[in-house]
Amino acid sequence: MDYLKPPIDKPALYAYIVVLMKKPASLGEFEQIVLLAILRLRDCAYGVSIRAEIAERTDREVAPGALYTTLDRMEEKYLVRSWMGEATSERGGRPKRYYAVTKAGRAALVNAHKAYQSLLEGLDFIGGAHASSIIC
Amino acid sequence: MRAASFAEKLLRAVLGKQRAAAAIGDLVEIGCSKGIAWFWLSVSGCLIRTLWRPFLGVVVVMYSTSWALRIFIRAGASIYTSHLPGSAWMPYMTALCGLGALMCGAGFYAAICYGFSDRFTQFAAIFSGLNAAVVFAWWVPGVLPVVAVLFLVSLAFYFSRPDGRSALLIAVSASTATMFTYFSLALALGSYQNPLMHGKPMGDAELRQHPVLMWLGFLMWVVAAVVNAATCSYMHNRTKQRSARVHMLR
Repeated sequence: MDYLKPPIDKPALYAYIVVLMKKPASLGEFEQIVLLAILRLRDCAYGVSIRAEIAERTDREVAPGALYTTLDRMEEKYLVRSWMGEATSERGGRPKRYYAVTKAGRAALVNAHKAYQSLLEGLDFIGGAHASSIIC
Repeated sequence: MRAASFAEKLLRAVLGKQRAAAAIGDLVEIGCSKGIAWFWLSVSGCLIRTLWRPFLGVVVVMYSTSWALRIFIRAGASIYTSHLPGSAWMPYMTALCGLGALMCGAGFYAAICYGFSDRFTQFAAIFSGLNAAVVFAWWVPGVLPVVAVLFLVSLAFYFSRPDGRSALLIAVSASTATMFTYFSLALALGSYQNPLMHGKPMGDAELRQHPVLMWLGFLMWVVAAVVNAATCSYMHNRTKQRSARVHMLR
């Protein structure tokens, strides 16, 4: 299972970059969904499984192009890291590219979650008394 | 399988070897149940999503550089015609207008491809803004010293930061490469045009007589814009990789 481990020099690089970052990056909605899918999949997050996880949890069919562009952009921002895995016959002998969320990615997710929490505070719209007025 | 190999070759040109192999592997894995039409639609989607920014960027570089150069030269001409002798002013003002137009084009390209938070986009915007202030408002008292101070302060700021130094390196490389390309092509076009026109100045009638000169001039502009965009892109990627390596070594 060596292919599941990222290259040895990368954690140090990302840890250093996290220290350099002053505040967590702001995330778009799709970026949050992709990061959460990668976190849920733990060690087996690659293109197909991420896409399947998003489809299963959100009923949303993601175009592969959109997913790869988002993953590349997040890798450039050091929110995720990737490494090449094993090649299988069902993929025509091509390797998988695995993804993992970095500390910076986790920090950005926590930041986004805090912002949502703050905005939701006091609304109680899921099944609460406020619900009917918001739906109307 | 042959379709997958061909698609991999296409994607390799834009994504790189490893990414293309992984992406096509994913598409083959999903595509077993979805069919060949879905596979090619997905490959096209990957290509379009990766390439639309650079393509749009090159078009915008061409248009914005020619637009900026035209208005800069027009405004700059007033400086050396009203401050005689014009021959003393002209080379400096033309160089300033040319550099300002180049940075304007490169700035638009960087804004499209890397966003406004990128250091190089910000530097190009600052340089173009200061350049425009000199060209359009040089006669207003205090403009020249304020622009000089602001330029030196921004230079010092950019020199003091690693990402700032990278932005300066991109700016210098893009300007040098584009100027070199443009003047080399202009020299080549001139050596073709002069025997054709016997050294006479060209007007609309001459261009109608020799439309190939107009097309060659347009081609020269396209090549210069592509070189400007490509140098920005290449240097941006190189400096980014380098800064990542430097961080790792510290």
